[in-house]
Amino acid sequence: MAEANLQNEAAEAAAKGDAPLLQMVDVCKRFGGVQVLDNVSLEIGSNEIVGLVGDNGAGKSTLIKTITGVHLPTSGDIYYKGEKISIHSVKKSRKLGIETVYQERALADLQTIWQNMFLGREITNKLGFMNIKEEKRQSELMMREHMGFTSKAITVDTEVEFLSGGEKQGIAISRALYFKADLIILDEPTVALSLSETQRVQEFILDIKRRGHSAIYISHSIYLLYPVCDRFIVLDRGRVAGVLDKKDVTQDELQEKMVNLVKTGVLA
Amino acid sequence: MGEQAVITRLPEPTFKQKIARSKIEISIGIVTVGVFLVYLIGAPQVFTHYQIYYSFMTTIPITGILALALTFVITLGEIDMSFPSVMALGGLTMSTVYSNMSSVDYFGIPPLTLGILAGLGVGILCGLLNSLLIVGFGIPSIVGSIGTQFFFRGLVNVIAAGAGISMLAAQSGPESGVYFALAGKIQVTEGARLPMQFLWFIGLGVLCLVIAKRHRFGLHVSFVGDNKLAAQMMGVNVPRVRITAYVITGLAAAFAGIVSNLEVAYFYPSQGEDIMLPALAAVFIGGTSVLGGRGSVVGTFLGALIMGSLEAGIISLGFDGFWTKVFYGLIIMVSVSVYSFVMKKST
Ligand SMILES: Nc1ncnc2c1ncn2[C@@H]1O[C@H](COP(=O)(O)OP(=O)(O)OP(=O)(O)O)[C@@H](O)[C@H]1O
Ligand SMILES: [Mg+2]
Repeated sequence: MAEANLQNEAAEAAAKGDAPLLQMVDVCKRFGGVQVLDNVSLEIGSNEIVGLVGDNGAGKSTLIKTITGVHLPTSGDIYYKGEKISIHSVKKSRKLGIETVYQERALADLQTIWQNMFLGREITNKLGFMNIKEEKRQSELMMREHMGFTSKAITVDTEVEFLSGGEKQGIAISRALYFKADLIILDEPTVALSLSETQRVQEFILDIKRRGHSAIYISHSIYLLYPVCDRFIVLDRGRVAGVLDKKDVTQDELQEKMVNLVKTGVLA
Repeated sequence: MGEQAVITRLPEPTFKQKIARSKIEISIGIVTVGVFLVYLIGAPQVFTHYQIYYSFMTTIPITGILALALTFVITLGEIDMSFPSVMALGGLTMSTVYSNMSSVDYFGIPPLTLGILAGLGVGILCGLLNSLLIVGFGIPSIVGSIGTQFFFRGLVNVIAAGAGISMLAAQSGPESGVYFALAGKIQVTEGARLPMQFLWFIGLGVLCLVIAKRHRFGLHVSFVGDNKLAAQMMGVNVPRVRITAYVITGLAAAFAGIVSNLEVAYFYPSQGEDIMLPALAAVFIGGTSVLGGRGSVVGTFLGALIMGSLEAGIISLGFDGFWTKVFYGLIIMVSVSVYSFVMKKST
């Protein structure tokens, strides 16, 4: 029942011009025989920060990877600004204005910072030769201004393997934030970060909101999510167990609900 | 991000890192100079004359061109074992087309040119078949390309039925210019000729270097070899990068086969059978990591010079020919040990 209705809704909303930024309709994802996403339907509004929560293995990372084109959904549809995304790929999602900090960081250790910064979106001429000077210049800017790298010891030519865990995360985060996007997805961006670095990420997210963009923020720490998010989507074993507005739930209640969900299998 | 982390932790200074990044090239450069110094000092009567260099410039490019192409596949963390057979298949295709079509102009293309194009086309097809198995079906590259190595060699044996094909007629004929362009000799001075294939080797070496360092493809090869998943997540078309690398190898192998046929003006069915290990060794002593993610075109170029000069060098130094492989082995063991040491220290 849901599919036809939602599809109609999406089409209508698009026609009216007030479509949500992103809409997933009955998205399923299987890996071999394992159903990791089970009829997931959700919306991300424009200028909305959505917290995506759920236990380990709930399917959060898989869900965002179907949005970014890393995984193709087994079935179901994804709409962006009211338009159905037909042939999906990472390139396409970036072109649409979706940027992602993956849980795995997606950095290659033996390659330099500037090479990692521009991977997959190299500044090239028509023949595919890179404008290395320009990529380095912009990487330098990102490092000094967005990440606050002050040390002269780390340059854009430093290989990523020489960086600390926090610095690597800094690269992954600023890479996503530098290229202006409408939807920024952050999958566990603060793991292993120091307190002050975590605070900076929180501020980045508030800034996304201020600038009128949207974000999906994944974290196991409700105390990080709650202050910056507008809405929470709870994922449980591949299904959307519930959607909660911030005004309907306090931080403690949300925390408690999550604990109960793990214990009882129901969101109450 | 990272203010704290940066201040509390100071990695190596930049200039040291710069040297670290060129460590491989510097090491192999020193080894190359060292090896040729040993030749010069040990056998000046041979190595102060142009003749030996002429002979190097004739033979090394064949191994060298193969090694240049293999550098990309190996930087991917993969391997192509089929190239010796592709060489033979490319050469066979060229020779067969040439000798059977001498009297007719197909599509207005004269027979030698047609044969060369057909040979190169077959090389590309071989690369695509490797890709189908390795990229398409997900068969490990070493397994898939051992399969195709036998298969391609088998095709050569069946088609050639044990017989060689002479290419002598092509040296004069109307297409002697084409022949010259691939395997001719330029008269530089009265006593010194320069083999065309050496110019090809240098030209292709520069091309590979530019692609590796400045082209998106070269960068993507390193990323895929380093962290395939990250490359995919950042939008690199991983299958396309891998397929391109195998096609380049197939094309280069066919080209090497064609040039080597023309050089001796003869196709023989066992062509390429003895080239596998020297070509791979040139890549490894050049410092390209078999683990992927790090490759050096300059290293491969110099590695080919070392591998290709060793046999003549050893014999000129007064060793019995039986010693050749002992020295091959030593050079390989020492160089990869040095890289292992150098890379560990820099991590
Ligand atoms: N490429 C894959 N192939 C097979 N199974 C996979 C793959 N990716 C994820 N899974 C499985 O899908 C399930 C959900 O994984 P996912 O990474 O999406 O969970 P998550 O909610 O992000 O968990 P965490 O909080 O631990 O990051 C897990 O059981 C995982 O093993
Ligand atoms: Mg996850």
